[in-house]
Amino acid sequence: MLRRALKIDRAFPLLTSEIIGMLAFVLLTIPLSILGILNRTVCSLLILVSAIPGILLLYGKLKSSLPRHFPPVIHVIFGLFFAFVLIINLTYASMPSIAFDDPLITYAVQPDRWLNTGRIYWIEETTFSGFPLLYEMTAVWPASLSTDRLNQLSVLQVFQLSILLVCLFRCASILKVQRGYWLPLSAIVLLTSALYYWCSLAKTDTYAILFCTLAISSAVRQRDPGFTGSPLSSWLFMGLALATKQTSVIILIPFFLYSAGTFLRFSWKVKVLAVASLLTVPMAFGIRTMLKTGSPLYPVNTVDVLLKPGWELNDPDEQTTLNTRSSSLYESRDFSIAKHIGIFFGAMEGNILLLIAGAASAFLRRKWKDACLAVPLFFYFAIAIAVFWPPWWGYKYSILIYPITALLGIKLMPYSKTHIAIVSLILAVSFYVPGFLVVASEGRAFVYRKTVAQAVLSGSWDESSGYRSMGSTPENTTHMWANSMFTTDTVIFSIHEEKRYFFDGTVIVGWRHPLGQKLYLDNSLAEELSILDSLNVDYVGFYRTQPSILGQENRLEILGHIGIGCILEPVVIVDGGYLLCRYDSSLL
Amino acid sequence: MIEVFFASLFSFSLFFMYPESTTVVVSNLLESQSLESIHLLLPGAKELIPVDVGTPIPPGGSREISFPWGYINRVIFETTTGTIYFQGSYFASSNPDSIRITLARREFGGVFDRIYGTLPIAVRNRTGVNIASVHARGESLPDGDILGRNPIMPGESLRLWVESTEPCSLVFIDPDGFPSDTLIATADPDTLYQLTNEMFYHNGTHHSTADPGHTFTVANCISSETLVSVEALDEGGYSILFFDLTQTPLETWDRLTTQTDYPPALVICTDSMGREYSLDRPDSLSGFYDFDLLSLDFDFSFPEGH
Repeated sequence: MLRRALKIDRAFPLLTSEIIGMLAFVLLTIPLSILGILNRTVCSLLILVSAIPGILLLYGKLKSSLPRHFPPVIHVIFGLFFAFVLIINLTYASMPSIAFDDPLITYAVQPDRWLNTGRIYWIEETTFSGFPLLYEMTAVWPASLSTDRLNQLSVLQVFQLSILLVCLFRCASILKVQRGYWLPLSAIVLLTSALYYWCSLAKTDTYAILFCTLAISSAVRQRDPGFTGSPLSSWLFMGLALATKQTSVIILIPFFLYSAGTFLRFSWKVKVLAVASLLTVPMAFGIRTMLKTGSPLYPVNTVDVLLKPGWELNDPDEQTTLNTRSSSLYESRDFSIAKHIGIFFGAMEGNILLLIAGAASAFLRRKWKDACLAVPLFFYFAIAIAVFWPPWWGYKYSILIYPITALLGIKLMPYSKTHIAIVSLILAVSFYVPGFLVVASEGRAFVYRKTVAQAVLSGSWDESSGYRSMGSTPENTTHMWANSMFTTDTVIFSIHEEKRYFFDGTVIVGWRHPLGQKLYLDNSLAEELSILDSLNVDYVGFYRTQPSILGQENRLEILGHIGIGCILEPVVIVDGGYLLCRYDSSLL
Repeated sequence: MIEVFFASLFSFSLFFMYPESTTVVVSNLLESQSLESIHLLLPGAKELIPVDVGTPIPPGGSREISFPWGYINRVIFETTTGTIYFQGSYFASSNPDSIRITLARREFGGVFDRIYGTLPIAVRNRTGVNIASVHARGESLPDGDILGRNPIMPGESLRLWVESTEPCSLVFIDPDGFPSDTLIATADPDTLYQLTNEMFYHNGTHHSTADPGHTFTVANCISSETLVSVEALDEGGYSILFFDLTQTPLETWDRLTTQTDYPPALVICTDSMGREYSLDRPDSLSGFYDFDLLSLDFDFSFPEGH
């Protein structure tokens, strides 16, 4: 409806209905926030009412697209296999992950807090409140449908997986991939161990995958001689990717390589519009972040000279060592270069096999121009390996390119018996090798996936599988305990642990916070107390027997003052390890 | 021929035999405390092994000390101020090896070693409260508190090292100053004594009713907090008993024994701030519903009104 009313096709013909709908809801968050009614009641009502015409349209479309004849056997097999894989992935996504940090530090926290207060605001305790926030503004809507905080994580995770499905089918349509390939292609992508894991977390990755894949798909489609519409869609998609996740910036490499030819043929007016489409949305977030901190991309790639006072970042050495995956801490993973490269490509599983098969097919059929479509991706792979070194850790930043790798690969294969056999073989390998033999990335063997599916469907975890169900962490439980014990204006200073999602009050993660980081410098006790006082800290949280990492305790004089009647007075140990201490600087 | 073979094997094994001891350089990187003593707890050992340090190692100083070669469960350092530092799971392998004593090696919690001998008395805090101080009486034990300011929290342990197997008497004090019953303990590496809520009950008042039915007892094991209501629910979630104790609240270590028609499925208490605590079964040691900080109700719900 919006597409027709706003004549969106004229400027962005490849902007799909789902994306238009999502962007409309993103824009709607702004007036709702200004009015202070961006809450669970209003948002869930709006989304449910808006869904009604969508459901009717979808029903009509599905009805009309039903095949009139019984489909070929191979399609039925592909369909059943896809349904099976979808169930495996959906069940995993529906199981809330409460041990993994990122969503509980920021990605699920922001929509949650905004819905609690009815407005979008800068969450002062986290440095991640700034650029970019497109995903968080979108996530407000599915989050509003949840019944509690645990359910909210589950809803957001399933939302991620549904985004991946939209991504696959829409991009297959944009790239004009043969319909007969859609289901095996989707199954191969969904089976990828890395995507199974990362696309089922309540964080930005899948949303960024969506826009990166749409951007490159559109850029490739816009190269078609038969494409006569406006070429701005791909530029807008790339801009939306940049407004979702900062690491999308590396996708600009293949994007520019695919777009360069057409861009040079644009008129000046179209060139300006293309650049504007790319930059407008990320710039909006960048300007907001800059107004607050001084640096548009804060806290990543900060421009130090622009930073406002109080926003300077001084990452403690210990955390830098821990987060530098090529540091001596990770000596045991100091593999040979060949193995590193093997891990990078191995983690792509069926996706890279499809690209190789597609490129080889085009090459053997002497379709040189088609075969060259794979070249920008290989150029990207080389740069990504170097930028995100070492690949045992950095491969995860390249998942943004996995679906388009598979899509381009399958696009290069004509729909013939030979190629269907090749695709079937890749599907079998994608299922069997990472599921039962070996995996290059973080493994999720089929026994694990089956155990998760069974647990979600039956309600009980099969211990005989050898896997343990995903538990919570002591700091999560402590935060929920603290919700009942303390008032919502309580401030907890966490020495090392980063999660804050489950706490109603404020959790300042010392080593992440620009002011808290000063605590980890070589200060006197009086200076440490002054820092904590300036942050209005009420409680300090850490693991009782090991408050921090890599001997960082040596920098924290305050840890020498734990005791009854001391600056840090132990209150409670929850879940066997995490300690909350009452902080009172007057007890020095 | 075979003799030559065995002789070669013997000399070969002699050549590669592990040394009995190795030299460890202990560096004191603390700012104002000297290292006064070092003790070793070896795997399977029933006694602590003292290491000869000589004069205390001053701040900034270091000393070469002979350690037995191999794995050591815990190397315990005591400073001149009585503060304990330790290195867990230490493998003295190279010659010389090193240990740097810094704040990071401090005994932050978990197990508290207090060294007055080499034979262990281990006591686990199974109460719901922090233990603020410990008074011990026995051969070689000093007068007054032996714990220091860092409390033994619920689930943590005191490991008191004494000189003989003569009985010692231990009294534990909670943060409100309430003493426990006296625990008589003798050194034994195979015994873990339990400090229970029951040992503090004598500090409170025992209220009771005498109705027919199933009798159960609720105890307030929360320091510096009062309970102002007690409610019992049945399996269906229906209230089968409610006591409004606003006028006569249960103070710390007070107990209330009362009756219901049948055993409650859940007992809920409210504190003076309106916070709710619940337990679905009595404590396995005392048989009472011992309400402590960890009985506090919490869940995944959104903040009120959202």
